[in-house]
Amino acid sequence: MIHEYIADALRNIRNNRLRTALTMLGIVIGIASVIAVFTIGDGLTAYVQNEMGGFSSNMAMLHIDTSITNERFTPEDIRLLDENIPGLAGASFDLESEGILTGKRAAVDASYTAGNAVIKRYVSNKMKYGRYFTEDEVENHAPVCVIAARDAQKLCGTEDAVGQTVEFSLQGRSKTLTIIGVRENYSEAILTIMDAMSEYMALVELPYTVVADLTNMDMKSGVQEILLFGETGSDSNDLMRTSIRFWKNRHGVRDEKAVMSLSMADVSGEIDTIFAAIKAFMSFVAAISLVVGGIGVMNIMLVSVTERTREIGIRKSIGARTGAILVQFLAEAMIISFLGGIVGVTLGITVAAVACYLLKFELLVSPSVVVLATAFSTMIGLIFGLHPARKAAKMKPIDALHF
Amino acid sequence: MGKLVDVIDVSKIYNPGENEVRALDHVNLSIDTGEFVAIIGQSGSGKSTLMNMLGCLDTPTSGTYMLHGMDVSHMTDNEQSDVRNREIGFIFQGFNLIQSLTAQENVELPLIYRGVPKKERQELAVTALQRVGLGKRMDHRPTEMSGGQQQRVAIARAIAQAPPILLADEPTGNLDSGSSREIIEIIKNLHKEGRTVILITHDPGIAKQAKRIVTISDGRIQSDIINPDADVSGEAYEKNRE
Repeated sequence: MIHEYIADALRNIRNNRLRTALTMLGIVIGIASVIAVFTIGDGLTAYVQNEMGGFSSNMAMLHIDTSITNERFTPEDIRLLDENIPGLAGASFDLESEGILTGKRAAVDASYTAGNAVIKRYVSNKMKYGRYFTEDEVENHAPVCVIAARDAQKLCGTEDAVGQTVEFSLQGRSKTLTIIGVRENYSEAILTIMDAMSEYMALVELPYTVVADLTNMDMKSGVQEILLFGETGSDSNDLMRTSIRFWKNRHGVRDEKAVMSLSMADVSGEIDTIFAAIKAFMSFVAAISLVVGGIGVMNIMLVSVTERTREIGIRKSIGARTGAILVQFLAEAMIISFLGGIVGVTLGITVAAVACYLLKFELLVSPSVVVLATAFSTMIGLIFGLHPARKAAKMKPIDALHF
Repeated sequence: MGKLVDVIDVSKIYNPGENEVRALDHVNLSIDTGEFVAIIGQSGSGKSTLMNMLGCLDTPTSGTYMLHGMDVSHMTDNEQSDVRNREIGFIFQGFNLIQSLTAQENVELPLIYRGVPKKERQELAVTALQRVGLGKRMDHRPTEMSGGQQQRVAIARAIAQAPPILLADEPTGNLDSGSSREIIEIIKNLHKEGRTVILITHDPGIAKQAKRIVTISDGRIQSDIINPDADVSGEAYEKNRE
C-alpha cells in the first residue's frame, strides 16, 4: 500500500517540477554545505596528520623551569629513566642548531639533531642504507652521523654514501664524521620548510657527545630539556607523568610546576579541537539553512494541500482513511526533502572534490556523513510536512468536496 | 433481516440558535435491497443534505441512520471512510475524478484504499471500464475525455468494488441530452443486474425512470410513491424531458 502513496507523491512532484526544484533549494544548499565542509575538513585533517606523521606521535618533551629549581637532566638521569620507566623506549638529550656539512661534492648548511641513540625515533622515515648510531657510540663520542638520501646525493654524489666522510663545522670548529646510515627522504612539507630557511638545508643526526665536544658543553652538569620516546602503543601522557615523578624523587624537587611537559598527543589534540570547532560552526550555519529549507517545504505543502482540497475530498468520499491522506502528503514532503538531500550530497561532494583537487588534499567522503545528511534531510520533510499533512487529513469530506 | 437503508427521525440543523436552518426535519426513509429510488426536490429542499447523510459524508444532528444494520450516524471519521468504501458507490454531478490519474487509476483508487492486491485490482478496474464501454480509453486522463466519458469512468469507479448501494447525485446535471441518456441507460441496467440505486435529482423527467419516487421539500418528505410508469424506454425518457 505504501508504494501507492510514493508513486502518487512522485507523480505530483513530476507535475510540479519547477516548484519542487525551488522548494528543494534550501535543503540542497544546507546539505551541500555540510557535506562540502565535512569532506574538505576531513581532507585537511588527513593532510595535516600525514605531514605530522613525519614525527613520532609517541613523543613528549620535558622542560625544567629554571626559576624554580637548579636541578637539571643529566646523562645519569637518561640512563636511569631508560632502565626504570616501563613503556619508555628511551629518553634523549636534544641538541639542535645549524652548522655546515662539507662533502667531496658540496658544502651545505645543515640543521643537526644530536641526542642519544633513541632519537632515531624522532622522525619516522626508515633507514635506506646502513644503520643508526648506538648508545655505545654515544658514550664513546664516536664521530659518526646519519643523513637523508637527498643530502647524501648532494654531498657525495650517491645516495648510498655509507662509509664516506663529511666535514661537520660548528661555531668555527670542525670534525670529520663517518656516514654510517642514510635515511629515506623527509616529507615534502618538512623539506619545504627547511629549504625556506636557507637555499638548501641538509638534515644530519649525530651523537650528542660529539656536538658537546665541539661546543665545549659540559653535559655532566645537565640540561634543561629532554625528549621521551614511548614504545608503540604506550600512552605518552602516562609516560610523562611517571618520568617526571621519577626525576623529581631522584633530585628531591617538590614543586608541582618544576617540570613542564608537552606531548605530540596534546598537539594533535589541539588541532583536532580546532577542526571540531570549525565543523560545529559550519554545522550550525547549515542547520539554519536546513530549517529555512524545511519552512520552504512546509509552505509549498500548505499550498499543495489547499490546491488539492477537492482531490482530498474525492479521496475521502471513496474511502480514504485519515491515515491514508496523512501518509500521502507526508510521503510527498519527505520525498521532496529526500531528493533535496540527494542533490545536496552530490553537489557537496562535487564542490569538495574540486576544492580538494585544487588544495591537493585527498578526497575522503565519509559514508556516515552522507547517510546522516540524507537521513536528516528526510527527517526535515517529516517534521515540516507533518502540519500540512495533518491539515489535509483532518478535512471533512463534505467540506473538501464542495471547495 | 432489516432494511438496507433505514433513516429514523433524522434532523440536520445548521447554525443552531436564532438563525438556524433545518435542512432535514425529522425525516424517515427506508429502502430495501434491489430498489431503484429517485429522491426529487428543488434546490434548497434538503435533498443534497439527505444525499450527504445517505452517503455517510455527513452526520445527523439528531436521529439514527442504519445502513446494512449498522448505526453509522455516530461513527468516527475512519469508520465512516470504511463504510463509504465498502457500502457505497458514488456518482457525482461533477464526476469528481482526480485529474492527474488515468481512467484506470481513478477506478482503482477505492480498491487501493480497501487494500485489494494490485493484480486483482487491475482486473476489477478493467472489467468495470469495459462494463461502461470504455475498454479502449483506460489510459486517458479526465482532461482527454468528454463529460459523458468522464461520468462513465466515475460509474466504473463506483461499481468496480461492487458496493450494495449506488448513490447518484444529479448524474446528468453537467451533460448534454445524448450523454445523459447513455448514463441513465447504464444506471438502469445496473439496477436490472440487482444493484440498489438511489438517484437524487431536481429533474422530474429523470426521476420518472425510477420505480419509487420520494419528493422532498423544506427538509421534509412530502410524498413517497410507487411509480407505475417506471422502466420505460429511452424514448419515453426523451418525452418526459420535454
